[in-house]
Formats: sequence, structure tokens, C-alpha cells
Amino acid sequence: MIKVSETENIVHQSQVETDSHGSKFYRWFKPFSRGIGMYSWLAQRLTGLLLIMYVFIHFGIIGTMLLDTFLGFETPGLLYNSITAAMGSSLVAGMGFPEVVESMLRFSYIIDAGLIAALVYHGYNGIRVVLFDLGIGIRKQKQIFWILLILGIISYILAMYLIMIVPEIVLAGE
Amino acid sequence: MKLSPSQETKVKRFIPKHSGSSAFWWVLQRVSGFLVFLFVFFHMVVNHYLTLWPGMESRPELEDGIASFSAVQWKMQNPLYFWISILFVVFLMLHMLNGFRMVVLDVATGHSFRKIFGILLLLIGVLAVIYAFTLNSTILSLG
Repeated sequence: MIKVSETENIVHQSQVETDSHGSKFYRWFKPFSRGIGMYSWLAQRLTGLLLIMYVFIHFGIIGTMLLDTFLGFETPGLLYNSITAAMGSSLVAGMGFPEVVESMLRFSYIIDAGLIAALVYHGYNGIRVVLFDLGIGIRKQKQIFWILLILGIISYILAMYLIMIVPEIVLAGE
Repeated sequence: MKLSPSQETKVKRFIPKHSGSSAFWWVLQRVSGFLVFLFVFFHMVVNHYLTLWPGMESRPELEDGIASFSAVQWKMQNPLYFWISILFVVFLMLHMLNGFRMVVLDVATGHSFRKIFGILLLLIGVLAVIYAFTLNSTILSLG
């Protein structure tokens, strides 16, 4: 049975994180003798940092919508459209691969695949953290982790199916 | 009303250990996280799956693709889309920058650094919201 003090440690992990000092930073780089909770905490932070990087790159790309106007070009959005077209083009175009493979190996899809993986993990693990904050399911934290992981994998497959496969089916129908 | 020992423990768990500003940021991180989750869902549906909606594939604005400039202009004309995207940036910045602050404060302990870093993050957040608003307004005005 888990003692109350241990339980509170799990519940208020995030608060402890906020107030922890430099001496605890080495834990990030010590991969052995860890439980699922510690790995999920580490992955939560790493996916968070990756998503921050993505957001600023995304802001930069969206900003090119205005660049044309500021540079005085007559056709607004020309630069932005060129960038999105380049990102949407296949990485293996003209290399003799089947059409399905060509259309799936687009730069934008590869970025989306990574982005959605990070998003799904960060989101589902965030739900797990909130549940523990509310005192729900602390004694079954490992089971909850695996349940949410399975749900995350299902959501990921569904999202990728909608992004990569369904548009191809719609286009083929036209 | 008297609470049983188990109920008291549950209530204690819900109350943040710290009071004042740290508790505020802790609650804000949870609330903004939940809202960002909803906004991301909306963002994904509108920007990836809109063409799958019956009748949408024939719209001239979406002819060059769902992410094209004309498609963005068309979507921006809807006030709901305009303001939801601004709110998305507001809550995203709150969640993202507060999360980043937590990570950095794991290693940085100096009081003056914490203060300056907090102000810097606030500035980045405000600039990002201004950027989003300017971007949306300009796109709308070009339409």
C-alpha cells in the first residue's frame, strides 16, 4: 500500500518541480533505475520543449503571408504559397516509387507525423497529471499510464489516417 | 460539515501545497493546458479536415489547397475563426511559456534571474499575441 507521503509526492510532483533547484537537474540525464512516472515526466518535458520550437517555426512560416505585403509585391501570399507548396511536395518525386509512396512521403506529412506524436503524448500525459492532481487513480498510476498510452496510439493512428490517407481517397474519387 | 479522514486527504490533495503566486501559476498551467487541448482540436479540424466536409471541395477559395493564402483569407473572414485563433495564441503562450519557465527554474535558482526571466517571458507572450492580432488583421484587410 502506498503511504500518504509517497502519494503526495506523486500528486504534487509538478509543484516540487517548480521549486526544485539545480542539484536535481542531473536526474534528467540519469536514465537507469527509474519508474514509469519518471520517464513519463521526462518525456512530458521533452515533448513540451519540442512543441515550443515547433510553435515558433510555425509562427515564422505563417509570417511570410505578410512579408509579400511589406516588401511591396503585388500578389500577397505568393511567398507563403511557394513555401507551403514546397513543403507539400514529395521527397521522392521522380525516383520511380509507386504513386502512393510518393504522395505519402511529403515533407509536410513527416513534420505532421512528428508534431502529432508529440502533441498526443503531451496531451494524454497532461490528462494523467491532472487526474493525479485531483487525487484520482494514484494507486493505479501504471495502469493509467498504459491505458492512456494505448488511447494515444489509437488517436495518433486515427489522426494520421485522416491527414494522409483520407485526402488521397477523396482526390482519387474526384 | 465534518469530513471523514479519507475525504480530508482527498481535499488536501486538491489544494496546492504552495500559496500565492506559485499556486496561481500551477492552476493556470492546468486550465490553460485543457483549453489549448480544445483549441488544438479545433485548429486541426479546420486546417486539415475542412475539405472533407460535404460541398467544401468545390469552394473556389480552397482550390489551391486548404493551407493556401486564399483559403486562410476566406477562413479569416469568419469572426469566430478570427477570434478563436487569437484566443488560441493567448492560452498557448500562457501554457507554453509557463511550462518553459518551470523547466528553466529547475536549473536556475537566482532570485534576480527568476525575476528577469519572468519579465522576459511575459514580454515574449505579449509580443506573440500582438503578432497574431496584426497578422490576422492584415490578412483580413488584404481580402
